[in-house]
Amino acid sequence: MIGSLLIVDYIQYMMPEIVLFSLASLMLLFGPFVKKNTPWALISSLGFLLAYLLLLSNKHGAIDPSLLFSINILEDMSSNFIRHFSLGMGLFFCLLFWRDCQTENTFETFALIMFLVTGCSIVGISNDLIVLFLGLELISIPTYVLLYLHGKKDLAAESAMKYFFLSIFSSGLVLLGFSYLYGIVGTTNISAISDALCNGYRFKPSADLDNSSGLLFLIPMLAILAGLGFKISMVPFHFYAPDVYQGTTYRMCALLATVSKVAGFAAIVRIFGFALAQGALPGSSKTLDNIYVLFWILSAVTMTIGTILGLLQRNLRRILAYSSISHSGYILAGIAVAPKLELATGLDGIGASFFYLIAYFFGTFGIFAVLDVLDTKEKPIEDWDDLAGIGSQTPLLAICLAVFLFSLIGIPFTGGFLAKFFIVFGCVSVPYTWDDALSKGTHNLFFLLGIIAFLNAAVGSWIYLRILSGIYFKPAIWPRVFNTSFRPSYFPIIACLLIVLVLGIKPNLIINLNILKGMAHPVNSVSLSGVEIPKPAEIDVVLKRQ
Amino acid sequence: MSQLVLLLLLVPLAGGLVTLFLRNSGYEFARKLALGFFLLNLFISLKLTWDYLPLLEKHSVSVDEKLTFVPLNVSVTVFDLIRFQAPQEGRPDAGAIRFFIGVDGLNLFLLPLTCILFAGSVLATWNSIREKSHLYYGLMLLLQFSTIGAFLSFDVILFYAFFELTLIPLLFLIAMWGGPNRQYAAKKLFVYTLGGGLATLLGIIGLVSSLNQNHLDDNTDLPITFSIPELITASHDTQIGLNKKVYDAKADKDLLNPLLKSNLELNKARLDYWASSQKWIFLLLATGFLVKLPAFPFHTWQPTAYYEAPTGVTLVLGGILAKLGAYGFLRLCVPLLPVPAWELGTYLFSVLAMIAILYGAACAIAQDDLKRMLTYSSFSHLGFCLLGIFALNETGLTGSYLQMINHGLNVGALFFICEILSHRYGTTKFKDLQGLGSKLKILSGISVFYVMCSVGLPGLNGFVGEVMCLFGMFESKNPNIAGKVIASICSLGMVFGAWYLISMVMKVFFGKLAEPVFKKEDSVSDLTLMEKFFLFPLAVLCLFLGIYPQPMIDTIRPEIHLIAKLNLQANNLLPVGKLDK
Repeated sequence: MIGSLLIVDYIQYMMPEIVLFSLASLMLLFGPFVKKNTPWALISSLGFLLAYLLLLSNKHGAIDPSLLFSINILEDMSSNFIRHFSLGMGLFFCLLFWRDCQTENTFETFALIMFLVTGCSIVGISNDLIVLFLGLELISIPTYVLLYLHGKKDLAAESAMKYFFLSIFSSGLVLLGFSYLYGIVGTTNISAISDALCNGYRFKPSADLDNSSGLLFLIPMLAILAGLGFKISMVPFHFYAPDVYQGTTYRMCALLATVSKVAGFAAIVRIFGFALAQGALPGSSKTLDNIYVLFWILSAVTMTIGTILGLLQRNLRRILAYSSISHSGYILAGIAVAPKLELATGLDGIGASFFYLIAYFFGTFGIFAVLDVLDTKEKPIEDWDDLAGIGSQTPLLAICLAVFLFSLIGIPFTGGFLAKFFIVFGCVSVPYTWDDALSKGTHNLFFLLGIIAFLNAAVGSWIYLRILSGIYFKPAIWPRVFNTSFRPSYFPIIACLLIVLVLGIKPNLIINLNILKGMAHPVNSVSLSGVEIPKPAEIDVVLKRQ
Repeated sequence: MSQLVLLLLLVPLAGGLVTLFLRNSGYEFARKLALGFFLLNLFISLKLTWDYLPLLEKHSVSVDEKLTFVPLNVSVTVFDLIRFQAPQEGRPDAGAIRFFIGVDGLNLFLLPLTCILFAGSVLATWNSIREKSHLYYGLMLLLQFSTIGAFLSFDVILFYAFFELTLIPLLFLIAMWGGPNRQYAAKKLFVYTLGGGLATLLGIIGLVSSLNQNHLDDNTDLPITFSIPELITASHDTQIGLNKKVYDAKADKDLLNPLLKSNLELNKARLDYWASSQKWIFLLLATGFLVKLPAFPFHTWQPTAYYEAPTGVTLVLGGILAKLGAYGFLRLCVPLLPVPAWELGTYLFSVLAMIAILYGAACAIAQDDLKRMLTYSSFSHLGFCLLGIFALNETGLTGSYLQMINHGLNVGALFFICEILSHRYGTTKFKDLQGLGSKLKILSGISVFYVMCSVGLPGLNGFVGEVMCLFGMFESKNPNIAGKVIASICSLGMVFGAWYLISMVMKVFFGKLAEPVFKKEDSVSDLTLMEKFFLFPLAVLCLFLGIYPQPMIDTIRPEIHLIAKLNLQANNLLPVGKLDK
């Protein structure tokens, strides 16, 4: 008999998400009837703070790991990481959007941001295909509305429509993959699916499935990867990004470039965890053993195309869109190399990817936040040379922008450098054995990926240098009257600046590098701890039936 | 005492940050404050040299037992920056990137050189930087910080970090205060050097991770380390150990024992793999330093950057930052990977050096502008540094080190003079500046002195370094005849050097006076007190180093001896290429 979580435990564990969700719903419900000038931003910031406190008060190990195969949420290192990260993000976005509530009565904006963040957090803790899909949709649907609300007049409709159709399409792909997986395995529990994928022997009772099971799994996995590829703007699903970014404000760009990326990578790690975990899973993962080749190709192509197309742009939003595409490529490199690394050496691939995600978030968010401050109605900033004169007119903001750009280039003593360093260190240190030509081939293959990554980093520096030269080296065309009054979005900018620098000098102050190890899969950490995980009877029944 | 080293690093950082934020105080205060910081640092560096010279001499008693670079105990500051593995017993360096700085013979003299030239650079641009001068001087101080950091580092990643950090102040300095084409020049420099630096980083990572895999034993992994001394030991042990294993197995071959035979095959495979991966790693490592130096195929950023940069920055670029490239070879490339250094040394790197020497000299002859000519002359003289390093014997390595110091002093002084002329006349073209000797007597005298230093007149400092580099190459046992041929051809470089430098002196300082019609200042004056303050003491130093370089040679001997010895041991025990014959 397999136990299940009590409803009280569920509620206690999910309390932060529940608080956020209900607060957002209340705001949507009563927003239209409340008088103007209600401090919605303050309310939602307090909501985030409350959620964060609740998260901190959660006891570690609140969920019994032996229930892994029967419950639809879980607690492991990556879920904790994603939860903390997304709640922090939410607070940052509240501060960034703060001024919206002074001009218009936009309770929707803040409610939708809260939905978004809840979705991101749910993706992190999901252990079930349905819950995962719910989380992803909770991110997508508010994004459509936000895109329309925050669009620039003439382009808003186009960019919102573009995003809407492509996003719906990608959700459809994900759903197709999920239903296919359910059809094969007979359960929607992700841990159980991973377990089934790892232990191909389960399919032996039915002889005709045995040979083709690997191939059969390939179809849903590719569909899911394609759908999630849209979320992380991976080539060849990147086409929407520049157009959509161009049609919206810098605030929204910051949101688009970060939240869906964090959620997308969390989902990839969750679903492909069985193939990415490093050699410590019970039973070897015969199915999709060579998935790393696919990730290798996607990573190389994504970073190269992002960099090259970024060189050709003039519009700042488009430049940064391509930059975000190429950074997805670097993150994918960490995911590609993960299954080939040993646990013992340094950071593992997934850990390096998450570290990159952190460094990328603070760099990109910082850039968009600064641009958002500089972008005014009287003097909009469209092309990179619209930034002319910023360096002398607002020196402090310009320094912040420069530091964020240097971080994205990967200059030492910024987070971006260490992020690239960890990724490439992983790629280069793929171990090999002496008498095995295949392992040496893999070693060389990943060394090549390291070379490609650094080539792209060197060429890509030109993109950011152009922005920098816009800031500092172009004379101002006309004087800019800059409103120096205090803005709430200065808080996240300063925080980003400090975090980017500390991440590059002593990252242990912010994130314990040890918790970035072994994040690939919960089964991994649980089985290492020696706990026997009983499987629910109905899963076995379904599997045998096949 | 280690506080002094730390202070040397922190004073320019603090100074830079303070100066950067002096927005409203005007250029006079900014330059005075910056000069104060530079002089303070110069004082610290001289004190450091004074303190450590005797210690280093005592230190060198155990030259022969030394198997790796060991910084002076009293000078070391070390703590963890990024730790991703728990430390092992007796190996605090395992699994962490550490802040590890110290002083040994190899970097001791580069520190005062850096401080002298940076102080000189401020004096050179004393009157010419008026706009945003707080930013200029702040960035100069930050540039000094990162340069000194790179010289002091004993951790590869820390070295790389400082090495790459020099780019940011340089980018701004050139792009904001340079000549008409400055932005292009600055961005070109940035992208070239960043690309080269990333290749170096890839080489470093490749080396660290391949030394992590134990080549001698399948069962255990060696600890990950980023400390340069430990990496040298590990690399050396691996090479010697593999050589020995193959050698021992070969000796037993007659037994026809199948087990032994497969063992031999395995070890040979390991040796081959290690040799080939070493070669790639060496090329990657060297790329960044070749770009920074710059050496022949990677030099195209140099003419634009040197010419467009404000002369104070050109002085530092040629005098100090180019030395970072040569220093990288001495500190990392050659001692870490002696076998490829030997194999590629003659055929690739000395030929590159030869091309740089001759091509640079030929270009210098063709120039019609003082600053451009000095740029190519610097390119040519730095070729000697590279040549000396890849002679791979003590004479060549010592010569290369002396050339680093001496070229720094000479080229610094020459660019200083160039800045004096360009500030007074607004031009450095030869056709506008002729026969200045009749008007600016002291300036002409001192210029002729520095030109002679740079030409390599015996008795002056330029001579010692270049001649020792050439001698080293002559002595080099590295395919016997090739070394001699290359050295003979390179000695032509000294002749060409004399040609273009002396004909420059003839044009600019002798003959009939011809000044540009439009001068920047109405009455052109001779050297000011401040300029004398830089040029005369430096001249004494040049003379001293030319006549009596022995103390310096003695101090760096342990390190130079070590580099040469590592090469000899790795290559002479059992040359890898000759195994199969």
